Amino acid sequence: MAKRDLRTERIQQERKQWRKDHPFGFYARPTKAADGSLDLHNWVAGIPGKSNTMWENATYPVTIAFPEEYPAKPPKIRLPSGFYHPNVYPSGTICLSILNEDQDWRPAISLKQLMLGIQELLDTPNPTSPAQEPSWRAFEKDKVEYEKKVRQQAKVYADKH
Amino acid sequence: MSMSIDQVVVLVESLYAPSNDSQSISQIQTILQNIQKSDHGLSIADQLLEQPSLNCKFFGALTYTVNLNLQLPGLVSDDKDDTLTLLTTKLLQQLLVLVSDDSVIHHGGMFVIKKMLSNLALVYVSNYKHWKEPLTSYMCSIINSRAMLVPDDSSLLSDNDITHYLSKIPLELLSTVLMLSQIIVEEIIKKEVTNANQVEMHKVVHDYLFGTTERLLIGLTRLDNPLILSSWLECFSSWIVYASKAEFDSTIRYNMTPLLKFTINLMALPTPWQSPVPEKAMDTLIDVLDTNYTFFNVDTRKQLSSLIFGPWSSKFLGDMPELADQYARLCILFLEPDTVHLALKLNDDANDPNFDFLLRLTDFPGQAVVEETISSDFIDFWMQLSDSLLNDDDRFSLMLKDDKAKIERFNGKAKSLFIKISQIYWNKIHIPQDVAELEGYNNEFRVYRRDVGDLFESIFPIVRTQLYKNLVDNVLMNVNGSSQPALNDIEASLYLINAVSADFSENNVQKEILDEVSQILSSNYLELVTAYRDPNKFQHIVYTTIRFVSTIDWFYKSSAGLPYLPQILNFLFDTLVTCSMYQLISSKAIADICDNSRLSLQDSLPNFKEIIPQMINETTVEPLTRQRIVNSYASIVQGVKDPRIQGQYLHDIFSLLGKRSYEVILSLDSANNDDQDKMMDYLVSLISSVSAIGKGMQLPDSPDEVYTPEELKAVNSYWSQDPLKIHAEILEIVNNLSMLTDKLADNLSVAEEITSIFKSGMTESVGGPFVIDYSVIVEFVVAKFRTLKTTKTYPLLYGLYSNVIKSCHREMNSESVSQTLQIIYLDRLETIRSDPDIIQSVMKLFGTIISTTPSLLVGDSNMLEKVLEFGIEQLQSNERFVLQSLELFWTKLIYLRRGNHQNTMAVRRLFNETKLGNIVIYNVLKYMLLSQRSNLEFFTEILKSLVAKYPMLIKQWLLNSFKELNLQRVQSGQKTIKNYELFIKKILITRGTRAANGLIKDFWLEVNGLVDYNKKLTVL
Repeated sequence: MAKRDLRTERIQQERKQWRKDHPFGFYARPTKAADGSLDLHNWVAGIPGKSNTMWENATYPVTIAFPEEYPAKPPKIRLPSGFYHPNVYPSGTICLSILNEDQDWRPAISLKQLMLGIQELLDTPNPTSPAQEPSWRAFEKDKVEYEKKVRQQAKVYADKH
Repeated sequence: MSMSIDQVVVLVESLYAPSNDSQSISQIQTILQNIQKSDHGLSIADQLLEQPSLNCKFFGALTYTVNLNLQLPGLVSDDKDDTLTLLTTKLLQQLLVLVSDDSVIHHGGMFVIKKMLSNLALVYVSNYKHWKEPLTSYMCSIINSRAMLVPDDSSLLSDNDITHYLSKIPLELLSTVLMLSQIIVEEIIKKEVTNANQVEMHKVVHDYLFGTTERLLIGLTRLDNPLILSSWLECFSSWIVYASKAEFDSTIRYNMTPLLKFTINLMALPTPWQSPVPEKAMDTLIDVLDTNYTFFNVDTRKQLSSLIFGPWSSKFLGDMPELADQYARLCILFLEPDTVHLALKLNDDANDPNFDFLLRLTDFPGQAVVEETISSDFIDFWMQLSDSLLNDDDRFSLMLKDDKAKIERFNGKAKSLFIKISQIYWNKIHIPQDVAELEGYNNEFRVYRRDVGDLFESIFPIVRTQLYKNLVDNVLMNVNGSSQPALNDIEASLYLINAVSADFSENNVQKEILDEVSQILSSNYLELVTAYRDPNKFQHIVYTTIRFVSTIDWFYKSSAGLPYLPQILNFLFDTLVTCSMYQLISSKAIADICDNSRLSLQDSLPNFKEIIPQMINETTVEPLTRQRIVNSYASIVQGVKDPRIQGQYLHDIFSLLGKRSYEVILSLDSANNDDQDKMMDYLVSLISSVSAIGKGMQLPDSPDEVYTPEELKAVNSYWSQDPLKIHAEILEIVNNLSMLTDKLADNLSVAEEITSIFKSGMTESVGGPFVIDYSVIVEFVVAKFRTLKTTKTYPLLYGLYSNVIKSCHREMNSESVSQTLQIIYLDRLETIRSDPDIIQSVMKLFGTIISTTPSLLVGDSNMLEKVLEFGIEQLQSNERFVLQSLELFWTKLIYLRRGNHQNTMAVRRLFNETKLGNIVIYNVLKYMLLSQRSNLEFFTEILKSLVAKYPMLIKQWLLNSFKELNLQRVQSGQKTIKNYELFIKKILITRGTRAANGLIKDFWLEVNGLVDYNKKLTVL
């Protein structure tokens, strides 16, 4: 059983809230430790690409790590390393203001808001905050190439069946 | 503007006339709005209310609303009590006229009455301090047939008063009294008031308005009239929402018990229900549970519990299934907040029927998602119960007084409950034989199944291997027992096995589970699936089976699982090549298995090899599939210890790729445009296959972990001789694709793959097919720069050369690097200047040289001079990435941590004896002050490094630079930079440490006349 502290309490709350009300097609759950017990501080989640965008028909996996100072500090959310998106660092760390404690992170921001924020970011990258070069360069200079790469990536994370 | 009432009436009627177009409606609206807001607004409102037409009456009430919104704030703040009293009385009088008018109350005019009630609510919300009893005033007005404002101090009603009022007021008017109460609290919820006022308002509302409302509601419970009861429930629902907010905003607490008891009684009427009231009562209770569970005390909880688990509730599964959804929601909302308490009830057999009832409700008949949603609602509920059982086990032990027998029994009952739940959901996730039944709901059903999978994962720790065994038994029973196996049964079982299996690893999986998996794979299961692989048949079984064989990666790592690997791979290969629809998923499964079990798959290489030609030659194969398969193949080949065998496999595949790519390149020019595009995509896929081999061939661990010393020697010896000329084969493919045709020469994707091919061998410390002499790569880079027609791939080539420097700098010398830089940099300086991406990649290259072996650049003073000039010139860039690369270059050069004595002296001399320091500081300051705030960090780092490294000279450089900058500012009519002397003093004190960051930022803000609002706020 996880130790009861502010972080754990809040995560429990988020978990309850997520189960009650989460956007369609998304999933988010704690991982399991080696002994089979729940590891509430580390989650896996899936973010579906929005319909009618080049990101559709795929669910993009993310890992969520809640630091000890959560909710004073934001969770660290990562896509797989090498993920192709202008605002995702080569390590997979997502560059989004609501995930940055020096920018727009607020303790009241819920997991649902974070997941929806990332889904929104997928199709509307912020070219003024580039986090990786290849996709940023393609997004700025060669939209056809960019879309081709994004669609290829969507096949890797295709979610049908 | 003056207009007669008749003219206004005509306009109002036109406004609501259906035939009018939007333009004339808009014009009429503008005119009427002006009339409403005029000085005669209230008089017009009264006159409109006197008109026989309901439209006019409504517009009259609306005109009151407009005027109340305009006037009330002023009247209240100026304490104009008399005017307020007059206005309230007038409103009450108008309301009385309306409710007494048969043509209004009985002929569709309720909307006018509601508007007038909401006007009274507006007055109350603004004037609650002086008009605390709106309900009593309204009731007295009705009884006395004239508007009366009851004094607040004498208005607290006794039960007798209420009985008296109720007997005197006609039923339909009683409804309007409840409506007034309801509209008032809804209005308060909408209104935004300050905290202090909020607390006071909540107190007045609780002490007066709720008191009267509660007595009234209780008094009305004696009446058995559906109309009144319906209004009663609506009023109560609104009060629940308001009371919950009031409890949150203040210390006021509401006791809703009597009203809740009555509501439960209303719902508890014998079924089947004859009126809509009990259903409405159920909705109200759902709202209360959803809004604020704490309104239920022990008594009301007991009352509801006995109802839910009593005979009354069985009707929802029998006579009234149409209400089952609602009823299930009621049960879940009621039980969910205290699942620990519910779980403990498992211990008492007397509660068994209650759990059976919940199970029956979960197992509501019908196709899940399409015909019923109850089972979906219950997924979360059962997960919460399982969480409670798992997370609060200490509590249960304590409650059961640590009695082992009792705990065991309790766990047994929990297990038995969840086995039953698993059986229900196993049925529910079945894909119907006729998949058309799911049409329109496919996505929802997919998510439902995933949620059920999560539930199974959650309950596994409670039911353990029994759950797995049941699922496996079902698969085996179908495979072994029947000539017509139920494929959707098997699919459902396997789907859930996958859900549970995802959590296992080779470290935690139990032997029993391994045995169960062995049983499936030793049966004819895969043969059965193979027989059903027809695209026109039940495809789900194939998809789920492919997922199954890739999910059980922990199984292949056990001695029990290892023997099954070849048959699994054969199944996957067979599926991959037989049906294109399974290509992507099969290739993913193959890739996952090969990645995890490369060393165990050596025996499968001959079989694997057979499908490689098809994967490479067939143009219809998905590029992603081709890449995955080739990568998997390479990762197994990598595991072959004998380099001669390994080399043969590689030679075969590279020959194939080389031959095929050459053929396609030769026919490229003669193809039409459409075909050319397809051929280019195919060629990109072929070169990416070479790159995929490179990735697959990378050693998974350090060489001494992978090879014995003898093996290592043999490997190095083999690749240094390279008897099958594999290096040459790879280079030939690279050259063919990048040099042979103009159509591919500048292609970005081809260049990316080639870069990746070269990079894949650079980090290897043992010989291998991709470990290519660096001079060959440099030759390639130079050759490309000489032949490229566009600059698209320049950044990639600079990046590749950077990588060569990083990996092979020890073998390189200043002379050869200068020769290369002459061609790739100096000869194309103008082209480089035209594109920030190229500038950035060039500066990154110089940064890499300086941070690995500075002598490669510092050793050639002419080249260095050109590079420094360029580095200074580019400080004026606004591009973030360019500035980032400049920061790297300048800080590495200034600190020169990797420099030898000679390099260090050379750079020091440049700063000490030439004007370099002055020029750098001048340009850093100049462009830093002009740059945007987000780019400040890059200049800051350069400045800090100079302060730290040249403390004796920096003061003069800074003074000179500021003087020069100010001179320029004066000449161009700009404000001069003040206080720079102080800035210089302060920055010298920081010695280039982190403390300089804030200092530089503040100085930047000051010079640019900006304010740091964050800082201001903190100070405040």
